[in-house]
Amino acid sequence: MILTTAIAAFVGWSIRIRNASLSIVAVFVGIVLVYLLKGKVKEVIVDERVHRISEMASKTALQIFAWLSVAVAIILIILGTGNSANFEQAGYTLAYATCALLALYSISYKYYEKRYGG
Amino acid sequence: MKNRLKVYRAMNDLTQQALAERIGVTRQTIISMERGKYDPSLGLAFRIARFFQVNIEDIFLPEQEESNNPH
Repeated sequence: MILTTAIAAFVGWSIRIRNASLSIVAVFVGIVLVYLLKGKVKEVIVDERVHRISEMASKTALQIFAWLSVAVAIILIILGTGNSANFEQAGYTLAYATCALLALYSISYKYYEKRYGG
Repeated sequence: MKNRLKVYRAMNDLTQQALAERIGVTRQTIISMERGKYDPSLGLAFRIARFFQVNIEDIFLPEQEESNNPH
């Protein structure tokens, strides 16, 4: 948690001073540190219950995001039609992004269905 | 699914943390199972039964047996 906060603060600072390479280095250093520190933790911190909770949370987030995105996209497209091209463009971008997300979900679903004997 | 995990843990004089370490899960998972909020996977259920050296049915009670078994 402390490491993540420190890396995030450093990335924010590097963006502020307009030095993108520093943020890339910071993220890389963070990944290496997490990998090295992970080996030092003896007790179990992630088990099947945590995985199951993570799966359910991901599925719920996907469902909520997909519905909200569609609703917002439709509103933006309606508002933008004949008025603001920016709204319309933003609406279509959001709609296509949501379609891509759902397509990715379908591909992942098929993959795991085959993997687990579907 | 109800279980007798707390009973077997007490019979073996183990804390939740100690049991969690022995079977390779977090203490929170043990707490959740004892409260009946989380049903373990088949693999974990077998690991727990093997740890206590009992049959899996001695610890975990399928739903139709909960109403038949007053214990």
